[in-house]
Amino acid sequence: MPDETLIPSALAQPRIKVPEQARAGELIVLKALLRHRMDSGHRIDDHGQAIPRLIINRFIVTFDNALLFSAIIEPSTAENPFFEFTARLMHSGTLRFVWIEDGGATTSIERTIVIT
Amino acid sequence: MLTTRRDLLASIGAGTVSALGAGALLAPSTASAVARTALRAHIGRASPRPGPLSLDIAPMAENGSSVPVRLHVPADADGTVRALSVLLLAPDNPDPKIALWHFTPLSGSARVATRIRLARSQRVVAVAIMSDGTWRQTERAVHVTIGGCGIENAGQPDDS
Repeated sequence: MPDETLIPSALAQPRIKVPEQARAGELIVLKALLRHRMDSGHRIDDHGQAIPRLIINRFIVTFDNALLFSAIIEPSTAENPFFEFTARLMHSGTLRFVWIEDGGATTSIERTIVIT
Repeated sequence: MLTTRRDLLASIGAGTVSALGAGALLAPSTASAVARTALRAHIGRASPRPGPLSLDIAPMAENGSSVPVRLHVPADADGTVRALSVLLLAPDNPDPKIALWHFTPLSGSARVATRIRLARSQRVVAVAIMSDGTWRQTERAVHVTIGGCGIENAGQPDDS
């Protein structure tokens, strides 16, 4: 379920892969992708001008508002940043994925998971 | 191939001759100085030890603009010591830092897969801090055919 409560930004709609349900204590795999150029600040445009740095610098995943996984992202992460990581959950709840761009623009997405 | 801390620090050092035989790291360069500073800022005076920390990267990367990487820091057998974070560095990139990932008990395991930029052939370095305060490190040599760090004059390196 996409979260519409954040300030609108030019950031793309994120894509995530979360199992709909899992057993309590089972190690599950989560995947997250955001389309973004990740301009490193080292690239030169066609006119010889440096393209300023503009990257996604933070990625934060919470489960019912508790921190699950986070990343400080630097320019040597490839464009369209993709992360695959794990979770071990003991009860049903809501996963929230948040991306923050240089300058403070954010985008996020939420997904409920049922733990049996 | 796991190496000792001394080898790692020597290789990242300003032109110090290292036992690694990694040509790209032997010459003094701004990039390696930046990498050394970044590593020092992260670990302070800590002494990382080799593994157990698995860093999976294909030894040959045709396109350095998006190289798949997979990391896993296994917890101790009884599960009491787990990884808190992992820092990944590409010492010979213009901007050596790739990312710092934080894991929590909800993570279940310290695993992450992502895609990184490699400007040229080099040894990628991973450093993990464990919940008992110890550090682990490992590194992998990657041969890059076409460098990609957003430094070439190409709008879409992935299209080349």
